[in-house]
Amino acid sequence: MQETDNILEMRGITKAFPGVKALDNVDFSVRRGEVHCLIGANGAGKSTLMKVLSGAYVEDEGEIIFDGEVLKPHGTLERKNKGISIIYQELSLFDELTVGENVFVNAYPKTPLGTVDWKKVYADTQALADKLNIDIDVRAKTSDLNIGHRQLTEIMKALASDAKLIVMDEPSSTLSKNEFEILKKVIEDLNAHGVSIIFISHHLEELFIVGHRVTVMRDGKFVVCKPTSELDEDMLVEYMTGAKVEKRELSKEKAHLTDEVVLELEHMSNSKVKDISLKLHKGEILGMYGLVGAGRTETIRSIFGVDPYTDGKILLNGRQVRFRSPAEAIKNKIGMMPESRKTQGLVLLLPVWENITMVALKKFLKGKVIDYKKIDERCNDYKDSLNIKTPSIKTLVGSLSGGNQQKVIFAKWLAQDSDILIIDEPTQGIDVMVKSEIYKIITRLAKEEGKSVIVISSELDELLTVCDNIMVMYDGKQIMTAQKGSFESDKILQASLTGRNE
Amino acid sequence: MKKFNAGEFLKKYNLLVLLLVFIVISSVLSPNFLKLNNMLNMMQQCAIPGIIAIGMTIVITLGGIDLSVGGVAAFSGMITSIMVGNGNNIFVAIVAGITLGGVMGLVTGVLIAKCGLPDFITTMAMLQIARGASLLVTKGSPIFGLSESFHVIGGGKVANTIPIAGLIWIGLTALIFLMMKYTTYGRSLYAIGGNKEAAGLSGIKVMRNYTIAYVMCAALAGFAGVLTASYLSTGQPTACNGYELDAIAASVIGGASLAGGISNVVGTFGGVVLLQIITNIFNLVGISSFYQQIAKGAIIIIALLLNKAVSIKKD
Repeated sequence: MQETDNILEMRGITKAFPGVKALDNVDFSVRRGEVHCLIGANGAGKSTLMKVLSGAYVEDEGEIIFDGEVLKPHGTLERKNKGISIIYQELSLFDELTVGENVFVNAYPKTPLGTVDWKKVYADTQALADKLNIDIDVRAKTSDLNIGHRQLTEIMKALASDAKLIVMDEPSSTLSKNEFEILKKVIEDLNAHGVSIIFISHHLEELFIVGHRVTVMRDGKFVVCKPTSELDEDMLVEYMTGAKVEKRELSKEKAHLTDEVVLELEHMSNSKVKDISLKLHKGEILGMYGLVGAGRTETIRSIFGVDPYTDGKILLNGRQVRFRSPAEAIKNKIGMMPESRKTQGLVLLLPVWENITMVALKKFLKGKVIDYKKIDERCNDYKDSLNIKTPSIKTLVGSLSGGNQQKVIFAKWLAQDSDILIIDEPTQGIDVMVKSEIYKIITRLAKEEGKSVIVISSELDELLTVCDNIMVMYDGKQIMTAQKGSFESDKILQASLTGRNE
Repeated sequence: MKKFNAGEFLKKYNLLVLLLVFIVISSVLSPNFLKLNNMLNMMQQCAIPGIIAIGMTIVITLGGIDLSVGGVAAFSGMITSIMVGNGNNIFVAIVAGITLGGVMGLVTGVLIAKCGLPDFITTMAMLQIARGASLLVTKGSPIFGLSESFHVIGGGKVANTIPIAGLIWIGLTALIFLMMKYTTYGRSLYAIGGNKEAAGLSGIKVMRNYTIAYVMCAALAGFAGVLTASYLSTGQPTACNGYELDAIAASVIGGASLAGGISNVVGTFGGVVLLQIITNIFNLVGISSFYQQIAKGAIIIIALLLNKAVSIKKD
């Protein structure tokens, strides 16, 4: 490989967070005018690597050479000015502005008087569109565009700031087939103009359509970099799962479940997921695995009454239910710990006790009046039994660490004493010590107190540790369900990556 | 022993400190300030804006705002005045005025919670409607000479000294304080104001509780309007003009955050008193009311800065 061919070279990049090495001596390079695909399972380190590239994170070790120049960590703006542009999954366009305004919003062309030169804005935008053969109305409001055209607007915006390297994070996940075809053509045009692309996607078949080379990452490490012509899907999955290298030794012990089904989904569909069937037994811990966006959270939102379901049935203790609000679900003894602690799980500016009692406040009444003595006792009990590290139960929850915040959410649902508890990403961003404490709590709930638990997680290890059954989802569909005693981590991973169950 | 921490003390009691400072300054400026008569007079003057401010604090706790309270007060006052003037039972007339306020709050609440309209504009529109309606009912003319017995609730005095309206204000402050602290409804307002989504996912009926808060706020405003009519013995369609801003100011001086989730009805009480002291001392010393307005604005900013300075220092 010739050095001069590379627009980007990242060498020996290492980045550690408390308790976890997110990137471990990763090498990654992109040639001028190529589409380089970056793939890996959840937590493989793709996004961390891209954040290091964008300047959002500073690497602990290693060096980045871009366009023949060593990049020093000076923040995201500097990287952007050098020509590195990142298009995130959630696009960062201004809805109320036109295509042209969005493209030039960072550097409007000016007239001699210092006002914005609107003629030039739209002429230049049109020129960009022509260059890439994009058929788009440059004066249309962005909110009126479909998702494909919005993405193209982002690409033009990147080009307007002279991007030499564009990172596309999951560009296709929301696109239709047609829109993907257009995107493919635009990418080819970009290559022809010497612009390099880093393409991140969960859809393996797309890599073979658009990509020249693929780099696979696993567990924060570089695995392999090969031209797509020398690869096929099976090989990619093998690289991603590392099946041959580390097949975990798993307990062969079967789960002992009662026949009592507390919650059942019969061919349940909503706007995001299709035809989901599952049975949750009393005392069972059911795992839901899949890539981010596979439809796991969307499934449980319908169980908890946040989003309506359109087809099929949800049966609670054999009776069909259709909750219109979380309040109704909670009344029927279902609890849910949402994915995002800070925005959905907690009220950060309120104290620990108030967050713990938020669901079950009615249980702390003496007559109609809140019994603060009881709250004080119970919350301090939880503080001790769950080992919540907080100076006092009067401390604002926002000032606690992630792990302790998560424990507060556990206490909140323990106080409510629901029969069914749904936990979305129980240990995201939590250090290893607290993780094992949380697994103990979940296991105790199910095995000693007879609660039924659904755990959604993007960490397979976690589900293999605590679950009796693991259901795998891909692209809004249910792919397979594995039983404890016959878990095979490579099979589960493969199903989650390809959507196939072999 | 715990070390005395000036920052912590100031953070917790900054309003009290500010009040004390103003009381000292005022008593130096005018020997009449600390006299019992003046105090009782201030209590009377505080009552009506004070009751409106209680309702405003409830809504602000949610992260909402209600700009319609002045108009609602005027309209409720007019309807009660008309009924009293027509010789209806006084008790029935008062209840009708409060109920009317509540109904207007219900409309506002449903528009905001169920239809998702922005609170600022919706309540501003309701202010226009209520103001127009209170002028319309008598084609703009006041209703004079309401009966002596109606005057008792708003202008009467216990043992000829303590103003009844002032006692009502103190009583309502205590009542709402207890509601906010000791009922599930009260706590739910803090949860919703702090994080609406988390509150909903915790099973709190966000929309319903939102609506109830606006009903309470407008009912309290209606009651304040009735008290105004009673105090003046006159149904005045232009009464309570601009009171919404004083109510918001008092809540914020009292420590409430317009972003929601933080408020204190007792603090609001202090805020009302502080604003009243400023009016009072300017009147006693005989300075033009134009200066009053400037001073009021300055005090609001000082109170906010004090709040902020202490919390910045903490970070």
